[in-house]
Amino acid sequence: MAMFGDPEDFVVMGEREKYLYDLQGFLVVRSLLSADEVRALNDALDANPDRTCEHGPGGALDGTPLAGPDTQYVHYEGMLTWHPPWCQPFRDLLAHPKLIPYLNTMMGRGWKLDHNIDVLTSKPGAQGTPFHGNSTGMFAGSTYYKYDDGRMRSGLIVCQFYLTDVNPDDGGLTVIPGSHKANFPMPGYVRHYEDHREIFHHITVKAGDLVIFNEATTHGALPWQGEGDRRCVLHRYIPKYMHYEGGVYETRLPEWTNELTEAQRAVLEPPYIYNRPLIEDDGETIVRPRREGI
Amino acid sequence: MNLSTPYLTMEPHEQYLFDLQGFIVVRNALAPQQVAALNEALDANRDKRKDDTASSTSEALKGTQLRGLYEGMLTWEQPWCRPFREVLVNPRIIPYLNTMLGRGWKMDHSPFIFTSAAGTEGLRLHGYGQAEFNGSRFYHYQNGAMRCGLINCQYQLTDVNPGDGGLCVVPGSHKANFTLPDEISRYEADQDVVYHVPMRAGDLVIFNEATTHGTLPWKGKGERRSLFYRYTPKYMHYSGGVYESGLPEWTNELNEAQRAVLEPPYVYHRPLIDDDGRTLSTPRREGE
Repeated sequence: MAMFGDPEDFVVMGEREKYLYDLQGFLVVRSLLSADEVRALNDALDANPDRTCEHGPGGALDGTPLAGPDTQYVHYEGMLTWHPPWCQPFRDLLAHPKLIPYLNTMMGRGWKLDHNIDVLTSKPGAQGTPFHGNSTGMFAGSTYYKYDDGRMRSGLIVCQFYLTDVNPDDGGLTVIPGSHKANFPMPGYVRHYEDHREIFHHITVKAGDLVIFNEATTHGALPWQGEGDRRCVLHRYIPKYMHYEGGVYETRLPEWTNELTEAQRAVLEPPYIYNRPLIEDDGETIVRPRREGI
Repeated sequence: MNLSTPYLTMEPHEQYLFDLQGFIVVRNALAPQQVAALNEALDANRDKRKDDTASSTSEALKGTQLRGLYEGMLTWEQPWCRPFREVLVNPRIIPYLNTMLGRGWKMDHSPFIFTSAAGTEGLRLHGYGQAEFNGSRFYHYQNGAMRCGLINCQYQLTDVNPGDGGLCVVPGSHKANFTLPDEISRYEADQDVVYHVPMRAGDLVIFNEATTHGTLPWKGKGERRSLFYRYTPKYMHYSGGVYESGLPEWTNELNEAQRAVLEPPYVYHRPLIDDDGRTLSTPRREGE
């Protein structure tokens, strides 16, 4: 058991991988999934073409370098509860043995799934995704990277398991290496990839590769121009004491809390961010913005 | 802090003091009638007293008896629960928690009361600054905004005079970069870096859980009565709390490791996945 000040006596990333992730805020792990695992995941998606939803209309980024006529993503939903055997390959990813050293190193043991698992697909012509990350120049306790005395810690982490190849010039996931440590607010041109393209890095992968990036690392997607569809499974993980949104576990407040005021009930709610009740200055009124400074 | 959404925050001189020291005293955070109601509720529930078994292992902090511990006040019978429920969102703490945690702050653990009669033992100093970044117990400042993990609010229901004992802190230790020496933790060396916090009934001290803090043996004439509420940011949960949680039925089809990663957030006795990817360990706590 590792406690404060002790070495972490469980499986962790290799020294070269630690160097690269600390330096860049993302890491590519080649061939994390076997060909059989990739095939099973692709078969499951092919068997469930009706379990999809579109991210939003295409054309929303017209006039920017990220423009495209089609929606940026078609998502698949609810994979963990699809009928057997189609749920199984997704369930097998939840605590995939090859993931363990990476998540142990970035978050300490006890890491947990956050949000719900997602599948991102893009067809040729899909518009890009605006660049985002921890862009305010202020510390965000849920999306951060910190290093002290040989140990790194991260908030929300994104794992993209690729089910199809991404070649140079195809588009798709692009990051700004090193931006997880940025101390200044993100310049306006970054959001739509409008200047200084030399600071961006497009990530090429083969089916079966994994890309892990810190949510604080500035990331987005270039319009998809590959010959086939882009297809990746996306899991988010977070340390054991944190929750951002969604997830599988269910919560409720006990009956007696109905005797409380709205503000008192608000402070007893479980942890989450989106549309959370926030207490106004009068101590009584509640507001629920989609998200407020984190 | 969200620069586009102004709301109540701490005064600049208070921000200076908390950033500098890792704790702040808020005078008269409770009105005299609130203090009276809380004391009356406690007096009416003396049968709920338990011994606090987190006993000190230090000669310098020894005493002849254990602290008294009261829990579960939010669900005590009416009207005794009421004054404790009102403290949940005490309007006086709003600017402090907004500044330290951002809005949306939430209660963590559950409220409790420590009582001490003369001769009650102390508690070792703990809280480890930034010797290793700990994502649940930290202090960080960047570009005009501070952020904290777990925060401790301790209200005094009786006076704490100089020399009485009770809460003590090491000012500035929330930013310490070296490990807390064991002899300081036992209060057996360098006692001059430890500050005892005198207060009046109704005063509040807020301290960061990363700030080194402990309890000196109680020597006061009257009874020490300290009421604790802990808070975390909206995206964090350390332990306990009021909300109930469970995993849906279909997760019984998963293996133990897969179920472990779907559990809600908490720290103590959490199932941790061993290196084989299948077996689990559940230590009381492992490095955060």
